[in-house]
Amino acid sequence: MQAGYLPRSSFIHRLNPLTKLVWLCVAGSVSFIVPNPRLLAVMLVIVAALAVMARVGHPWLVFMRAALLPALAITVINVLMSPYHGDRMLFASYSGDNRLLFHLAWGPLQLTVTAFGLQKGILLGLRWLSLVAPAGVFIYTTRPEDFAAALSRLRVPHSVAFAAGAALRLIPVLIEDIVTVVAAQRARGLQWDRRLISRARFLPVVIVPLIGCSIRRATDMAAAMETRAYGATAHRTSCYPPHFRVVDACAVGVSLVVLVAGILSRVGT
Amino acid sequence: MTRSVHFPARDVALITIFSALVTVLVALTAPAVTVATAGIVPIPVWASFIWPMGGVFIRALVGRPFTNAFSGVVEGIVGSFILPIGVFGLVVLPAQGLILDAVFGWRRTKPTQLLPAVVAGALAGVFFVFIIVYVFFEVRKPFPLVASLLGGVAGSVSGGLGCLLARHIIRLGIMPDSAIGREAV
Repeated sequence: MQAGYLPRSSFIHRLNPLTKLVWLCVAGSVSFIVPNPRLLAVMLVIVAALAVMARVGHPWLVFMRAALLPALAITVINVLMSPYHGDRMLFASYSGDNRLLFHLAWGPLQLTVTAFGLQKGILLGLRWLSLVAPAGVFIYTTRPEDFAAALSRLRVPHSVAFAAGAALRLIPVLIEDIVTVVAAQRARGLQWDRRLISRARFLPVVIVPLIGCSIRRATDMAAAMETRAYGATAHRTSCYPPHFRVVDACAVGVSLVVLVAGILSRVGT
Repeated sequence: MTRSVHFPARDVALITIFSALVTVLVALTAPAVTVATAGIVPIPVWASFIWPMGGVFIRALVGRPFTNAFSGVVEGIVGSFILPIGVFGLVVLPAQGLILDAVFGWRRTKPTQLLPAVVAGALAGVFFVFIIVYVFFEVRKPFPLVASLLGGVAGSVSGGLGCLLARHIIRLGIMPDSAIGREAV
């Protein structure tokens, strides 16, 4: 799975990172506020359309395929664990009657699936997907250094903005490190292909070299930062400061309208 | 010239890399563990097994006040893109970091002391699991209490492991000029 910026020529790539961050926060908030699974599905379709427009449709689909398994797990667990009579949710509501759909009693163990439980499970699964989907588009269309520069312009402390940008840039590198360490240990005879639970036993064999590798990387990174006079001045400048254009203002405006509409729809219920 | 950062380059680099590493580990392992254990180990409980370990370890490496809050902010920003909790992490993870900071700031206990590390891990675990289960997944009684207890146990074990890991690094002498390296001297 691709886990970093993909250079393409699209208007979404050219948007200011702050605009995309606002959109991400609004999408995340709306997925909480909106209690309707159908509206969440519509949101997912819109995000898919944006991914296609940004020419990152295929990697985004691969990203979402990885997200499907946990979404299914969340749905199933919540369907099975929901109480029989259904409970009031902070950011969701139920429709129809709470009919009993399935019941299985096996000694003291009881398995009950109700209509409310099913609705809640589907809603939480979709909510999870609609939280992750815009993040995929953001990762593939935003350069981490632009993101850090944009955070700095928001007066976020430079050390935090720098660390966030650098951490985002490091994600693919760290995943590669994990893959390399696992491959190296397998070459030394580690039985990594066994069942997932038994892999837990071998975690120290992977984690300790990974820590050593990360410490070495941090030492190199600190040396590089110091040679570039990190922290020498109070105000950092950027070679290519991201500009906030009219199209960004329009996109932020639309995002805020969507947020207000989401809040109003919730207040109405 | 005035210095705008309170954390020197080395500490920022350590916090950056280990925050990213911990977040990647949670993102890669938590859903798989939950599916593999058929939901017996929920995602937040497994996450509460990894976060405090990373937090205690980072605190041991850097050794400055508010290290975990800084690390939590970075984890929250990175996590909002790759973690199941999304932008919710921007609130939960810095708050969890502040809990670790509060425990280690109280009477200036050190993360290489087992008891404070276990207590910090347990508190962080309980907080994380309760907020995620009660607010994010909106599961009501009695599951949040049970899950929070599991989170507390996972967090305390995790905090202890983070402490032992830091001690191991001291013994190996990998980082002589870090906080734990200075402590060893």
